[in-house]
Amino acid sequence: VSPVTHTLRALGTTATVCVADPDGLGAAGDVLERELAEVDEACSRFRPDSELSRLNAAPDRAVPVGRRLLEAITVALRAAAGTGGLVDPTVGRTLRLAGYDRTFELVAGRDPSAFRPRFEAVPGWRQVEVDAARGTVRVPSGVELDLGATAKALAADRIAREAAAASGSGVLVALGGDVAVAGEAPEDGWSVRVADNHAAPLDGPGEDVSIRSGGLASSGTAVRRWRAGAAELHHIVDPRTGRPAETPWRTVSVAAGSCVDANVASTAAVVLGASAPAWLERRGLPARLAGSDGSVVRTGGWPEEAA
Amino acid sequence: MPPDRELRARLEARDRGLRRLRALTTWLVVGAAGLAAAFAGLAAHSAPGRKATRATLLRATTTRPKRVPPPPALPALGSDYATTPSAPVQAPSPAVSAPVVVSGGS
Repeated sequence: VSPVTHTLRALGTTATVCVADPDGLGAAGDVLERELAEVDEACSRFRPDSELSRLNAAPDRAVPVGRRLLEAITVALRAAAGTGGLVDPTVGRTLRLAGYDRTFELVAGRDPSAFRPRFEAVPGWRQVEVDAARGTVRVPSGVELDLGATAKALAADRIAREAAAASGSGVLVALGGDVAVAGEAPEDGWSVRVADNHAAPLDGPGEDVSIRSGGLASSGTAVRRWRAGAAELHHIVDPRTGRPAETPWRTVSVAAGSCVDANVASTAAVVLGASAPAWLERRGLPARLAGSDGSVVRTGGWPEEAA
Repeated sequence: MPPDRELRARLEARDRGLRRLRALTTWLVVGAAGLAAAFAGLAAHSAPGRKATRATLLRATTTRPKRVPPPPALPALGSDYATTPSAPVQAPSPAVSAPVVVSGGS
């Protein structure tokens, strides 16, 4: 029996759930749609009525937040702590000033000459105060959170787990480039094509690998790019400079114990630049780093491309 | 020895003993007070109260370069999320079937 899929547009990207047992597709699809709606209401930076927008608009106050946003912020802070600040949720303000201040479709469609980008130093994740017992978060004035690096991957992990439980089937969930799997995998594992753009066709250029557990995520500078004034920018900010990361990598794909961990590692690798392969290797993370010059570096047992 | 001389000698011995005892008591009181002061100072230095800490911090901000604050305590999470990215149970293997999704930049 071949896996079957259900795909929809959500969170500014493509969301897919794939089940090993076709009978489980309905239940898995329901989980996907319900969870995506909740994540959007909690974590979107582009919805003025989202919990995150309300938090960013209320600095210097302990703001009560729901469990979705509380968990997403906690995971983002852990990512920052675990990468020495390479993946930092307090990049929101500089990202907004750089022009990424609305959904990407609108950013890409804006007249570049009508916008002048600015950049600011990133305040740093230590500025954010989370009180888990009271369910509140406080961000100081001048700090804006962006959860783009972790919230989607966190949602993919959760949806995969819950969809597997609801459907009784092995499940793969892909939100943009973030892939999570749960339950019993198909006999040959879940086959995933790794490419520069998650929206590329399944028969387009790329390498195919098979995973059985955890997550696989790709971060890159090739897709989410925009022009602002005379500059061409992308969405992965280097917290050390407050500007789009200058990196030799076009796309970095990482497999890890969870989709969140894979996404955190792939984003950190883009920011780290030339030292990323050693950083990934030290953590035992299988990764494929595609350079802007066409070169490919593999770490941690990532398989060679089939001849 | 005549009885009155013997009595005087005993009285003098008693007075000398009392003087020594008084001197010893005085030294003991002074020594105890000194030790108490020393321990109090030591305790105040090693475990300062709130007021003392604040005063120290205020002085520090005017005389020393600003320090990076310690990381805040992070709320507990399920065991799924480690502090550092965790390696997969099994590395990816070459695919033998057709891909079901694409992982790439988004």
